[in-house]
Amino acid sequence: MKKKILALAAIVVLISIIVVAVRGFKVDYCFNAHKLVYIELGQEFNTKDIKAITDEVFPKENVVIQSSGVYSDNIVLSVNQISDEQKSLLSQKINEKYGVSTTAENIAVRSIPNYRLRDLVKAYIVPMLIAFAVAGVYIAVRYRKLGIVKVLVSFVSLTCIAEIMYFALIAISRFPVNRLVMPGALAIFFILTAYLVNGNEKQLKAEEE
Amino acid sequence: MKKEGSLKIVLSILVIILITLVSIWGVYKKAGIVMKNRLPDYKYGMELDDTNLINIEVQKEETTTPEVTTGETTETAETTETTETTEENGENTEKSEEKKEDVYTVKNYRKAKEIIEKRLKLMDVEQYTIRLDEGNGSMAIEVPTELSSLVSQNAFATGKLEIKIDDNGEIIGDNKSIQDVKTRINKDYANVKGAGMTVELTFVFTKEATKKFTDIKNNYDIFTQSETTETETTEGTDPTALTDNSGVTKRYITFYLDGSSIYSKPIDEIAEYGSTGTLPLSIGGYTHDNEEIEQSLKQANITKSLILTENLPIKYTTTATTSTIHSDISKKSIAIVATIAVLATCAYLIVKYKLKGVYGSLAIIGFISSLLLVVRFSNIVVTISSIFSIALMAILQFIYIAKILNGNTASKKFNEKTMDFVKIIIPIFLMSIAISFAKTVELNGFGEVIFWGILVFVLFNNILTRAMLTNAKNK
Repeated sequence: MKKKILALAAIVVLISIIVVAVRGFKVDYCFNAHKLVYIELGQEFNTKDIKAITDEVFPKENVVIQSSGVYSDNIVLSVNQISDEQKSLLSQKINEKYGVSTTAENIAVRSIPNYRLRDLVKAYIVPMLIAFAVAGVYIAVRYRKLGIVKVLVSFVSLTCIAEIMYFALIAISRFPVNRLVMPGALAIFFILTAYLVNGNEKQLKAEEE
Repeated sequence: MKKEGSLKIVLSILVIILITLVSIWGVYKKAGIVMKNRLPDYKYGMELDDTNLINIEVQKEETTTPEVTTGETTETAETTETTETTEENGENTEKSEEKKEDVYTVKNYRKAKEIIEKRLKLMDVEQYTIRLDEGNGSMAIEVPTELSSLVSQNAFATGKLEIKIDDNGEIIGDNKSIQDVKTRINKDYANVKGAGMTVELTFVFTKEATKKFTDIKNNYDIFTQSETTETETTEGTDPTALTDNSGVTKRYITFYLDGSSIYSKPIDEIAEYGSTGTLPLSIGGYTHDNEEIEQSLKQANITKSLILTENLPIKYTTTATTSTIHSDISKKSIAIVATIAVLATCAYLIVKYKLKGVYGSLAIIGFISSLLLVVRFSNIVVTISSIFSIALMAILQFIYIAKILNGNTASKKFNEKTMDFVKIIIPIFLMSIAISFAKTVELNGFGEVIFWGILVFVLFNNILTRAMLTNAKNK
């Protein structure tokens, strides 16, 4: 059973490596290169109304809608690309909806470069390694009766496999890498450590009895 | 015993209700004519709060052909010489254009990004994202709204420090002469009337710079012969202060940052301090006003960040600032989802365990409320990561309560099960301490919530949950 699970895990990881090598991770707007469209509306607006407009102007595209300004009276859209025709259509729709006189020239488009995933992951490496080492030392000392090498190997291998599988599944499922991904990795690390320690405690208790 | 047990249960429930009410609504006290919440507010991270987006682009220097002054000087010479000189000028222009083109490389763009990041950290800007377009060097920097002007006015300056002797323009030091810059609030005269606090910025020089200052102290002239006669006075100068009786003026050393003077004192004074390896300067004067001191400290940290980091290899200009962008994540939605999850959990416990389930639900609600209070008081920055960790702690509490309720809740069994749980969470506690020291707000928020969460877990459950569940009737 264990071998089957390991074999399945190896296949999943291999597929994910191929996917990442060919297509890379799918990345959400918060990290991807995109265009920021800024429209000075001058009045408060309903996000649902803007969503209806952007669905028409940018069909089949997931547009992030935010408000800006002290009075939340400016529209900020995050889109992949925007053409001149789309700018004109956008200004036309907004003018129809809100009775303003925005033109395509009034709509500011700013290029937002991508945020490298390397920079995102870099900040997590050293703290997680330190946490890993701290937990490893505790586990080795506490469960030395169960065999230091055995407990350490199971701790290291299980946490590494779990984290690799997590990212592999994200790559394969094309789940967009967003702000939830790295906290998720941290949470898995903590939960798995608790699970392993629980197992070790039960084993230790059984041996002592 | 039964009465004592009932009393403990009632008291625990009342304490939990009080903690929950305080956590949700706060504690209000009259401040003037308004009621003010005495509880500190949550500190939100950039993902949940307002941000400014600053777009900066590379400012390419215009390549102008040099004036043909060399051409003019050789006009009287043979034409071949003129031609050769202009050809040399052409080559020089090409070479200078090539040199300038060499500056606009991916390597320098990345270096500029690293330098800006270092500066932001030195300016105590804890939250930021910097996105670099390696194609043209442009960047988009996202910072909290309240720090936007601090960043846009200071982070993109070249940061070139020059320590010059004013009269002859001799450059005796630059950024590399400074080993460290320390900033602090000097409170030595805080209680002295007419004085107050001041911000001190101390330069710590390198060995080479210290040697140079020692050399200046021992070998350089302090005075220079003034160009003015005794009858003439230089505008704006006080001859009696600067000159000795023979009409010479004292030499000055000035610290220039990007061409602007930040500090200037007579050569002997600076050399005296410099030869000891440190030079303290006061920023902003003495004051009792805390806000003024904070402003001066900010200014000192800005100066520190510009001096301690390398000069930006490329000039940048701010092309656009999108102000006060509100987060697309609604805090209200998070609160609603969390409330539904907690209520669903409580409903499950009540249905399964009846009266004990009610106590268990109260224990979960009380724990979460206590944790949220601790988050407020300990100034933990609430980010997506820390919300994750609050959820994790809530799940931990649920698993613990479910384990306790599953079976006898007598004191001995309660102690056993609690000890089992504590043994499991010890390594988590140690890991959370390690993560709490991380430099990024997302990570240290996660670690701090787990750290405090475990402390609250142990205290809360050993006092309040124990009081309720150990005194509850066991069927």
